[in-house]
Amino acid sequence: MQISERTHHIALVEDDGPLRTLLTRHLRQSGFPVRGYATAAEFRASAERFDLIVLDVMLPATSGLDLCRWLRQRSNVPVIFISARSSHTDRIVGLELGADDYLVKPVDPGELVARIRSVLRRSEDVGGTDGGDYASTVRFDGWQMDRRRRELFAPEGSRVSISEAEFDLLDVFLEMPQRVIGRDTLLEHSRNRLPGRDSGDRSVDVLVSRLRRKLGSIDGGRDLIRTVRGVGYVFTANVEA
Amino acid sequence: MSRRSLWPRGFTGQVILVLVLAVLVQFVAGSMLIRTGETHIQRADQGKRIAEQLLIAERIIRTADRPDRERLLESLSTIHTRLSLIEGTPAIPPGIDPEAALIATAIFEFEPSLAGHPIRLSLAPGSALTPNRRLAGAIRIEENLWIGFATRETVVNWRLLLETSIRVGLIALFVLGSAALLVRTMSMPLRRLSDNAQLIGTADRIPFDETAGPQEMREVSRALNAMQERLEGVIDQRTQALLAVGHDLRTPLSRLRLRVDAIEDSADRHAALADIGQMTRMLQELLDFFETGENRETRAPTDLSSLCQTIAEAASDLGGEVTYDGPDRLVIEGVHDHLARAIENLVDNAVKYGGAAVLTLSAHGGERGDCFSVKVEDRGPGVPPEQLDRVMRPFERLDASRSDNHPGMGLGLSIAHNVALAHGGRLRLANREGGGLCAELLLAKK
Repeated sequence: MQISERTHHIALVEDDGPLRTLLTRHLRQSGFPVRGYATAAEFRASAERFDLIVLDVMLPATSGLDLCRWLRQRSNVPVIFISARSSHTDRIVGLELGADDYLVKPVDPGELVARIRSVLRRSEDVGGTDGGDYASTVRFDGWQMDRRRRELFAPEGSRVSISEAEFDLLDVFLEMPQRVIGRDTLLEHSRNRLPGRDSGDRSVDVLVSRLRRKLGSIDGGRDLIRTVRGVGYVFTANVEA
Repeated sequence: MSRRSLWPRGFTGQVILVLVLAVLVQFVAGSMLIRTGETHIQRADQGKRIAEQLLIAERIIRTADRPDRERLLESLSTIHTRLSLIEGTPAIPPGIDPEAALIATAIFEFEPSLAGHPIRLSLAPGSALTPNRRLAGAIRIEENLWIGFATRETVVNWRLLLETSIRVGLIALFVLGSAALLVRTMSMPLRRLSDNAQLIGTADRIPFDETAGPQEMREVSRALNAMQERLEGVIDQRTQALLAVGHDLRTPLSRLRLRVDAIEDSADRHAALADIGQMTRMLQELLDFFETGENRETRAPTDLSSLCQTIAEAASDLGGEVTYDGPDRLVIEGVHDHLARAIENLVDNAVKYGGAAVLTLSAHGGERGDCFSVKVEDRGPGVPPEQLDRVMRPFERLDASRSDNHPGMGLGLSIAHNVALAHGGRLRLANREGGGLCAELLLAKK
């Protein structure tokens, strides 16, 4: 599931001129054609269509949040917020408005590109930018996973903590339930790798065992991920969007 | 300072003392008044009785034969007044002292027919201790013939006075008691007020009831509420200013990050990136400190076990040896991100100073288990005992940690402390036996 070969056009709405130039340059170097806009009004005036929009939350006049709301009324184009605000509430507000990701400044350039690729891949999986709605909440066996917020809730409603890497792993399982998934596929789709350990099969095994333990603290949860000897794993539960 | 020792410090004591003095004065003055009244009534009473007896005696003497007179007078005597016949001049001197004169007046007022007769009266001298004075007197019937009389009872009825005094005393005691009760009920809201005022500045706003208690108390409550509002306004302004600076710094920092990224690979580039990383963390630390201090996030059921496990695993992945010991599941009503930050800070510290840490999660508070403990123990150098309190204060660091090896703003423990306070608990630091530090977050379940 690579991103398709076609080029993805990106819009960047950021009021700080130098930062806009720097980010544009960086994204172009990473292979994305980018158009920069200083204000929400400027962006709305343009008739261009984009595959993804990178939005600064704090913009003069119309804020990034308002622009996101405006966009959501018109299309499902993926939106990634970049913001100087890092609090949980700010993040949640952004994601609840329908943004696909929320990054805090100073943005790690490599991280931004990785997030853009991940969001693009996800949006293409569900049939293009204007296609079906990407289910932000997924349910399995009483559990609930909020993909936008990247939060997991146990059947009785309490929030269960899992690492970013575990979240990505679970996300892959939930996309392909009841199918044998090889370690390579799991590794490929994990956005966050395990640092400081020998990469590869072993790190996947470690991740799976950690995830199992956290899911397994609930009755029956232990059997959600079954090992297929020598091949990989199967996620056994039914998944509902 | 005898004045200080006599004058009570407490409100209740002072009011009671003043009341006791007032009641005492009232009691003494009242007793004196009662005594005067008592004396007056008794005097009139005595005069009346003497007058009656004298009138009868006079009539009998006038009609009786001379030899019978003495016997008849004897038989007229009562236990109160003894009568006798005096021929010639009585032993009582003619002068009348003012007290006796009042009795003479009472006699003549009651029996005006006696008014024409010369009378002699004397009061036996009384002592300071027993001012009761017996009365002796004589009235002239005809030339050289007097009827002598002497009272046996005292002028003042001390028993009656005593009884009255006791009654007045009891009333005074009752008044004093109810006053004490009133003062207590008045001082109770005052004490509550002072207790609450002690809490100002430690947690959220303390509401003072502006509708309860006496007028003055309400005014104090109003003033305290207004004061808190002003204080909050000032603090809020400062916090917002700092937050704004923190947020605004992130944009130039973003630019810097991207500019450095464009520099070709070199030792300087790595160093610059490390510097930017440190600045980013310091900013985050500052913002975290204000956010956890404000305590505005909503609380939701959060599994502490998975949180502790995730933090321990992440720290282990980064090279620290952090083990988790505790149940597989323990749900608290809390703010997930803040709890995570607090525990991360403690684990980071432990790994930084001790290289390894044990993260223990347990439920406290007996069977109800309404208090949770997250304990992070290391085998590092610990903290000098006299500095244990200091290190929890914001921006405080041990001198040893001001080196390049331990970057940060010294807010890690303050953040953990803020989070514990917001979750109805506290952060407890202690040196372990055998070396190392034990940092324990105590958290209320709800």
